[in-house]
Amino acid sequence: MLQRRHPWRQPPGVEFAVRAVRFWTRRRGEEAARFAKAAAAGNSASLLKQAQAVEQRLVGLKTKTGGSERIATLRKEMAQTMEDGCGIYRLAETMQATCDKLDELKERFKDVNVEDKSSVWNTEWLLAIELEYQLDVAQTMAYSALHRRESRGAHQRLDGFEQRDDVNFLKHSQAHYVVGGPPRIDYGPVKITKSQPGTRAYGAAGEKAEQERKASHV
Amino acid sequence: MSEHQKTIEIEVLRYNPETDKEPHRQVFEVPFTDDMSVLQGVQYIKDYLDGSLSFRWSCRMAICGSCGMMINGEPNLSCQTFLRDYYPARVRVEALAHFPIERDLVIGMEGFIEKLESIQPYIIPKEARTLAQGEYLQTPEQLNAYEQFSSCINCLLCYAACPQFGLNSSFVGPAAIALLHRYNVDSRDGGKAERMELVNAEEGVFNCTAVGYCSEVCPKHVDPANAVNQNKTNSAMDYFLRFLAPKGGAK
Repeated sequence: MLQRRHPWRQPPGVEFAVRAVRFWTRRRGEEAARFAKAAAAGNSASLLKQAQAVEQRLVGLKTKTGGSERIATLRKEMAQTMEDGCGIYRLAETMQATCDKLDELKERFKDVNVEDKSSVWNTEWLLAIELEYQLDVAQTMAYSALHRRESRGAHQRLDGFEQRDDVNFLKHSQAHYVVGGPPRIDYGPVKITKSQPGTRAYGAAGEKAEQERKASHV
Repeated sequence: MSEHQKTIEIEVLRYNPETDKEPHRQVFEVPFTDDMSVLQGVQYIKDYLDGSLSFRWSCRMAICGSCGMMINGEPNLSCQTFLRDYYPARVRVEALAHFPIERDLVIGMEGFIEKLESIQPYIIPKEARTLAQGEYLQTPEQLNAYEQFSSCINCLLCYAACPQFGLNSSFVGPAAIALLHRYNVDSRDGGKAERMELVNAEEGVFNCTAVGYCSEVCPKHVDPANAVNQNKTNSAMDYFLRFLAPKGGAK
């Protein structure tokens, strides 16, 4: 929320990074200039229209009156349902409940009330804007989790999908924004270079796995 | 809320430049538990009582330096001040003293940012150094010379505490001088002569009357009063150096 300036916090070494950035920035800049010269002009009228639509939506949050939902209430209910359904250990039933709850919260958000109508340091308006995006992100997480019928990393299912399933789920979940509804989930390919997926084992099982790994490298 | 819920009165200095001629006070009844900080009390007000109350905050753990306020007249970080210590009396929160109020508990920081920039808060290398020469090395002693003064989180409590800054807002002030000192005593730095001009200047260290309240309120034990007063000596030495050494002293 706060963009504070910390120019004095430069650790040693930053200067080198700055030089590298300057070098690459120049290269990129030259490429961009070449592209700009060659490319046709963008449709500024259409861009302006898009920007105005965004502005209207955001300003609308502040100017509308008569809303009855408090930002903090929605935010806390969101946090609680994420705790309930999308912790480390997960079940379809509770994840579904979380998805339903998030749908409900998005619906209720339409009735959100921003009391502060001012234009100076209006952090309540900012909180409302943030909350709407947080709900989008929460839906992305919950719906992706529900669709992922396997266990992987911090997504541990206890409802029949306890194992990692590289055949069906060695892929990125992709959430697509859908106007007026929950996100559409599909999948994209994963490109693995060095770090192959493996079982994360600890204690005796971990030592055994480590020995096997070493033996296989001999 | 249980029957045993304690409530405390929080009196807040409000100011909205678009509707108010001058700041005014507003009192809120806030339910609280013993583990709640003043910041959490103020957040409760924003969440449930009046969404239009504005204040800065971020980390909630005395690291970021955003949530400084006058609490019962004393500058403090609201995240490390607890409501239980004021209960059952009313606790009063106001924007940091000596700064212009932008809105409610939010102060204007432009003046301070300008001061920070003016002290050149970065290492001005003593000698040109190439990448191939690797990093600078420092002994623990050399680190010790400035480390304390590098802990400042720019919370501005020291400025709200400083009576001299209150009288003359052009005084460079405790935090900025402590940081200036931090670079001047860094073995890698060669910018002292440039910075001494500011130390010696009208707005420099001699504004300080050694009250020491700045060091008392500092949440990070930077001890800015120490830095300021060491630089009174440095400034005096610098003054005499200009007569003794051909290149000595700032202009």
